[in-house]
Amino acid sequence: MNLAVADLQLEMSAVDIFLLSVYFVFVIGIGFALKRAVKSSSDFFLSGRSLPAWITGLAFISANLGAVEILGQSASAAEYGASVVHYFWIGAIPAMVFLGIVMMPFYYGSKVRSVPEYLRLRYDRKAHLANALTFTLASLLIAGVNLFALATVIEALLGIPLVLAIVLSASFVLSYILLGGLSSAIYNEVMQFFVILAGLIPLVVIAVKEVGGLTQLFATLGAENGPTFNSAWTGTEPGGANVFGDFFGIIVGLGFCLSFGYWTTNFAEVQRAMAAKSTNAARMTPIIGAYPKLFIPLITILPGMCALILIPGLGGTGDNSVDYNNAIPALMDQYLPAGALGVAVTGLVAAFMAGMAANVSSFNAVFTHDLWEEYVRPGRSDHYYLVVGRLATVAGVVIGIGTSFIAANFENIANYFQVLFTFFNVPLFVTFIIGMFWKRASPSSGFWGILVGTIAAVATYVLYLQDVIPFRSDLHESFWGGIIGFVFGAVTIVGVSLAGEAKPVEELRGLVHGMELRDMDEGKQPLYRRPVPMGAGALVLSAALYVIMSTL
Amino acid sequence: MNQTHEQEQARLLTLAKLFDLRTFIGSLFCIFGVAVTFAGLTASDADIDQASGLNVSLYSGLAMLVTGIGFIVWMLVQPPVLPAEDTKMDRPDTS
Repeated sequence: MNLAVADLQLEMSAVDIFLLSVYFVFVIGIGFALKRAVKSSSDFFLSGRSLPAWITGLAFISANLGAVEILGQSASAAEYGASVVHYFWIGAIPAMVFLGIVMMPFYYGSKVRSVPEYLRLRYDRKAHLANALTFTLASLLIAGVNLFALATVIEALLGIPLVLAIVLSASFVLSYILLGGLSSAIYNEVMQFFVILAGLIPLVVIAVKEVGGLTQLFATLGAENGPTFNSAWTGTEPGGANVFGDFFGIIVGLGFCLSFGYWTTNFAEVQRAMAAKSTNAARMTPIIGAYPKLFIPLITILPGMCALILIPGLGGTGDNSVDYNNAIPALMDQYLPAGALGVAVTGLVAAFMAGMAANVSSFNAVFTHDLWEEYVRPGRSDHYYLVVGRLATVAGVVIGIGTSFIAANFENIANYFQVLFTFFNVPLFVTFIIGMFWKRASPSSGFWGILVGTIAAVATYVLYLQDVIPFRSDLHESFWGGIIGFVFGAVTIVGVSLAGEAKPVEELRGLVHGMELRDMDEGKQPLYRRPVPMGAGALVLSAALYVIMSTL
Repeated sequence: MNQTHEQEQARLLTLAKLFDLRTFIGSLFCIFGVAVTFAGLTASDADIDQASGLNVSLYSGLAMLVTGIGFIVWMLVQPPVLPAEDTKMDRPDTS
């Protein structure tokens, strides 16, 4: 991801610097305040399973609202137009609702401490190790990419040298996780969420006013860039021109395979729900998160589309061109006065730190429980694993600094690895979903499903790169790659299971449908705490937003 | 004996309020709100012209101040519940 913001040095006034400094004081203050609460490894890795649903719910989407996502999605919107909303309304909401309603009872009720741990109990150590290893590697890589992006923005906006910016921001993230563990990360994610809203909403209001209103914005972009640019479903018929590809790929590939793969098996997300204080709060976590998630396009995609009109040279190639990734920073530079600018800059910096912290706090849990405790030093005291977790946090941040330099110098390598890890998500989801609903799935089938599914997805990508299979774009390819990975993974699991022995029924307690632990009191809860009606509400709203957008 | 236990409970509750997430967000937004409102009050005409004719710092500062006060009021109206001595996995939902 190219984040060079060379000529974008913002003029920060005294009040802007003051706001940024106050925020840093709060971040560290939270770490110190929460330090008293960390007495066991469960406190450190899972917040002692004590947080209310509104906090874990906001942290759930906030962990996915790092600045890489904010800048990346506004860049995609400036480049591809309104269709980017698919990543939210069909590519996130249904998966989040499904996670809360269907999958969370297995995760929370079985008392596993991580996503890979579920695989070990349901399948075997091969599947467990495959997931634990790829997850820790991916976390470190993404932490490094986040750190690099953060440092680039700090360098560009505040004029601090890149290396110093990397080390400074890494130390901040390190100290607050070291002090308060997952609670610290979650508290900061929720605080960051409100600051980024406070920073970006005024910017969006100004940008929409400048382009002459929403209707005018869509009319202008449609006239200049064609009808597939300002409408999400135009050109999605087979053979159409929408860069997102055909509607089957969007609905099944993105809306089911890819998004379920990401949202339901990514421990950085699921960990937030596991920190909730009850089964009900855990189930409500992704569903509460779904409501703000519905409206995130208003502060990412909308300003990206406005920037295409308001920022001359955006996405161009000449001397005065501005990279798509800088759509939001360029708008900030152009429109925000002192005060409002400081809030927006603080929001972006906070979002970067939260993105990195989410990776580090899930990395240390998987490393400690799933690698160190399981394979290296089992059976030690709880205090021992708390110390290991703290050391893993330090090591994770140090390696993150290392990968950020790799990302700085070999951007393509970092990108390829990120693509590689996405191939892994979909087969992983197949393994979970079959394991949760089919008692017959045998212990070794999980590993083979993950392996064959991943190979099939990678093969599809390679054939696309070699022009053997024509797709309209990388996006189009990724949706179909997801479908192919899903099918191959599922067929393999079924085949291997039918040829082998099923897991003994007594070992499946809490892990398989019909044997999961449910919250019996859920029916007595008030409506706003019941996952099914609240989840259904989010789906209806999601469809309504598509309809509203199509009238613009 | 009971007296000291109650005092201890009261002290813990004060601490819990102080370290409640809503206290952090509330006080951060109050400080931000005051500072940004002040920037808005002292904004020059050039600042306002730059932001499409809106005194954006004034409005967003006031909105942040209201949000901050809202979080503090929420925390005071629904104070945090002290965790029971025996920490069970499935605590009743009381917040």
